[in-house]
Amino acid sequence: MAKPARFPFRMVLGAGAVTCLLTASSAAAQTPPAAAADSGIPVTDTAVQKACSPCHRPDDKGVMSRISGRRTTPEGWERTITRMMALNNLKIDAQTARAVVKSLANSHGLAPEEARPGLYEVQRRLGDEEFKSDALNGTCDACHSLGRIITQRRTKPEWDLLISMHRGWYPIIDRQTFRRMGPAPRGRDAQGRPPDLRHPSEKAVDFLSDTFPLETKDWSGWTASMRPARIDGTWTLSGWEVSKGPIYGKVVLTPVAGAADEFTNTTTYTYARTGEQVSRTGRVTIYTGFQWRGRTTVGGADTTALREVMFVEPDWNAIEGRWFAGGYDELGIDVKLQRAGAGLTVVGMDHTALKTGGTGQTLKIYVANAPASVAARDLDFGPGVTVSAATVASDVITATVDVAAGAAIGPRALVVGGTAKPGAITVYDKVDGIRVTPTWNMSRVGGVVFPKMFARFDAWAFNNGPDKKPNTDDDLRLDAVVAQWSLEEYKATFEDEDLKFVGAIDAASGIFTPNVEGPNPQRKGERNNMGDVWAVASYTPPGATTPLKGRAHLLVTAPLYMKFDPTVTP
Amino acid sequence: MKHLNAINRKAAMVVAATEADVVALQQQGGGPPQQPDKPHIPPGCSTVFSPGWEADYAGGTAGLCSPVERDLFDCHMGCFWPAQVPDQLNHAPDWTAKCAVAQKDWRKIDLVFPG
Repeated sequence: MAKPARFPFRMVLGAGAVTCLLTASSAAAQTPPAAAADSGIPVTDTAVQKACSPCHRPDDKGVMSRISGRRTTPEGWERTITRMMALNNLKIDAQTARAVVKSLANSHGLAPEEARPGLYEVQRRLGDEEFKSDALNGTCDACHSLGRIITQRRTKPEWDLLISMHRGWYPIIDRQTFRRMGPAPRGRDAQGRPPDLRHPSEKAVDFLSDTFPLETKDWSGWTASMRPARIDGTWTLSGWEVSKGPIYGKVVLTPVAGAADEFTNTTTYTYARTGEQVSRTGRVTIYTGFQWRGRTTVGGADTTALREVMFVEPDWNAIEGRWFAGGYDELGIDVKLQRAGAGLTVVGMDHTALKTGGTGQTLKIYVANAPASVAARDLDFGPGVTVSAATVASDVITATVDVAAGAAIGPRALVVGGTAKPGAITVYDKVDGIRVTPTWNMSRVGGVVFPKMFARFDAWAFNNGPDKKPNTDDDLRLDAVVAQWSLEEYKATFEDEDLKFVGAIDAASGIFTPNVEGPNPQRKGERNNMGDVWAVASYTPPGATTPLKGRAHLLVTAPLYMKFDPTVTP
Repeated sequence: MKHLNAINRKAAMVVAATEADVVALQQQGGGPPQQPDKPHIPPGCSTVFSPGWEADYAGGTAGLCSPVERDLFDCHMGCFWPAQVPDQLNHAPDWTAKCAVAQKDWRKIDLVFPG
């Protein structure tokens, strides 16, 4: 319940914010800033002009306020349209909105090299952000990822207006992040320079204007040559789903009549670990000549839907990205597509490590364009590794392999049918340890009103490498192992009993299911079922007696009561 | 701890916590590092550390407001968590209309898809 003592304070802020809001809204709806009107990328699509011009008046060059000063991803434009609908009373039907997003993503989008650093954002990956900036630290990233920022390009007036928009909608943001609280810095620094008196938001705008300007060589170069990606045809698929292992298969893309950038998608793949086969169908739209946004289902069932966000390499020979689902987009498959040529192609294998001294080890090799028959001598893993038998069926070569006791450890290429797969397997003599990936993970309680956010883990076997020392550059990552999973207490505070309340991890699969949201009367202080735990993997290598253990930090935390991130699907 | 002995209950708990960490003990022989070397804040999580939404200043949950429902309406009215909780001012003025007391009626509040 709200604390009565704080109520009047918040109400005062709220009243002030209304004034801010009215000012910001009026500014946006009336005459745009001169600088923004004088520069920008004209909007030539009459459908966009019609949908947006009631507020964003174009000048005689087709430059529209706000819109022309910005470039971003399809998701960025969709987020803008949904904000206009929610807060600016925009009335637009879904079909028109989809057309506007597509048009703006093409005319006011990102070049491939501009989009690449922010792929984790649109692919909804829960990983560490590689992009760092002291100028943005504590401003933008106080509330959301920097990925949302680095997937945008704006003029300086537009970056300024973005700050203004935040101030209008979120009035206490000045106190939280945008303005410096406390006394201004005084005196000169070690180099004799006067103190930097800019507020954090001013530093951020200066940085963003310099680093992510509207006009760039990448964009002018890309737009000069942008064309529909000719990606129809058959592609080999290799992927990885955490806790389920490798998947292999193929994707067939068929052009949609009358649309050069849309395709129907027929996908089939097999989970190598279990043999489970999956067939999916759906559609794909390619935005800006390289941004794959798709959706597939199994037999049309919405409950099986996966969103697909992929990056089409400019040579049209490789496509890489993530397919995902889940209440927080957390259930994903990392996917690589390679154009299937006419000859034999090795897509991947069910195992990636072979033990020295092992005989009769079986490998399944997933290929494209498999020959009618295959002999043991057709497969070559290098010295010390002997293939004693090989058969082929349905694009899968099954090989029986013996490894000499003294075979050199390390990665090996597989050479077969005139083609090589570098690093296809790793020969090892001993499993020295296991590591859990990801090394940290996050889950959110839910299941009653708000969705659960699941967390999944893999356990990888490692060898210390030729130097026999752990955690050095020559360590060999061997194979994902099927471990036994459990939770252990993370010692954050005493007697918090997190283990008892946060949820459970499936012992066989490593999939963590959080407990429900809401206050828990069984818990001290009616705390939520949140907490910190270790996800622990235990694995006993063949022939060993003592299990090896590895672990990762698991944060089981609060739900989100808002879902900001849009879904762009065909 | 060789020359120190726990003389009260809290100190004994510190000792017990250290000795019970089986995985960490196994790693002492040179295994791969498993303990985060610093607080880890997942990207996209709020870093407004007062008290923090997903993670506290140490990267954990111990310092979070819990149950979150106890303070949820205050968050709603004050727009304190712009990316986590709908605000009363603009995005969801009626978010709490069906819910008089969040700690009791939290099932009546909805997930909001803002612009």
